[in-house]
Amino acid sequence: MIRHVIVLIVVAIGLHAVTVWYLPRLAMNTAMERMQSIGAQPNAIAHVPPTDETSRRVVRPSPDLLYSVCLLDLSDGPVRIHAADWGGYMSLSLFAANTDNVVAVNDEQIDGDIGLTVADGDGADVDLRSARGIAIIRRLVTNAQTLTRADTVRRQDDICERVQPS
Amino acid sequence: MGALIRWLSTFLLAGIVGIGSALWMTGWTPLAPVVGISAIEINHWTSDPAIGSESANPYIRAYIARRGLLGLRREEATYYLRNVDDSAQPLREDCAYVVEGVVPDSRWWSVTLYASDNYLAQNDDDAHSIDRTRAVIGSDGKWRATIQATDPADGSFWVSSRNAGNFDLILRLYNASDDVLETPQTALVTPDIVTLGCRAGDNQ
Repeated sequence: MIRHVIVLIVVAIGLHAVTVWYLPRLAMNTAMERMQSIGAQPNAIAHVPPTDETSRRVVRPSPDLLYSVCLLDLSDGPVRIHAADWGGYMSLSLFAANTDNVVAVNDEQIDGDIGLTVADGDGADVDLRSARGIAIIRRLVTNAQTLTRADTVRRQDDICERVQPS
Repeated sequence: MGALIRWLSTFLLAGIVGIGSALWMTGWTPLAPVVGISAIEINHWTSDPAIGSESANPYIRAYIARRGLLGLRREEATYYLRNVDDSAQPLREDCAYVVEGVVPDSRWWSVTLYASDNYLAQNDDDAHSIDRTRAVIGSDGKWRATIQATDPADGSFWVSSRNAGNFDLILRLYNASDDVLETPQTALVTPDIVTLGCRAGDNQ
């Protein structure tokens, strides 16, 4: 009987720890699968439609922000992300597979466009410390005029692509 | 045979206890979670500086993954959650409220209404939030918005709670000042939420 109790406690604690560790990764995988279901591809920019009540891929989206995303797959090397300056608030943020926001850069910290390279390890501006993740470009759009302008700029000049070996 | 059943029962029970407790503690079940974003509490608004951070403990990270995935680290944005009015009663679609506050010391701010499923309320009123670019500052230095299920049509800024059920609000502060980040209890005055009334027959 004692052996059963000891095994029960040890296994329960182990499963508890593994579950707590895994849940953020599950959430990220689910979000990435939902984005892929609307056409997002690894290491390619995808422009999310303006946020409204039908936006149900990631919890708590802001209706005041216009999102562009890149699903990062760094298993074959670094990826370059380029967020085009549009004259309003903009940030480029990188999220690791465990949901950590490893870096966030906004338009007041960089003059002009924001560009970063990211890798799983050394050899790029940012070490994501995971092979998969998500890059998000946020732009503040609170009226039709800013939405049109931001949408035009992002479709013309935002980039997410593998860095070709030199 | 009896020993095999005992061991199987042991592992089954261990799985239920281990996984179930993890889901419960981190807010992945309908039950009230053990953890939450409550490290900072100001006037019923709660936040946690660990949101988005690599220093977040595993429980906070799992909790945020469920209820605020892809939240930014605090240097870029901070998030305050509130789900009760000034009388500590849950925010409900059946009631009307005024949310009012002073302009926080940040580059941009917004207050957004979310239904209990953590998404925008499923209505097409196009009135999910108020933000710095649209808020009108009164002579007393405060901005105001009416939260209710129907357009008040009285000239006030409207945030729609239609189809929201029990809801909560997120206060977003983008590029908040160092004072707001380091000493929010003294540097940040969070908005009040005054209940105007509830539909007849509904208990407040």
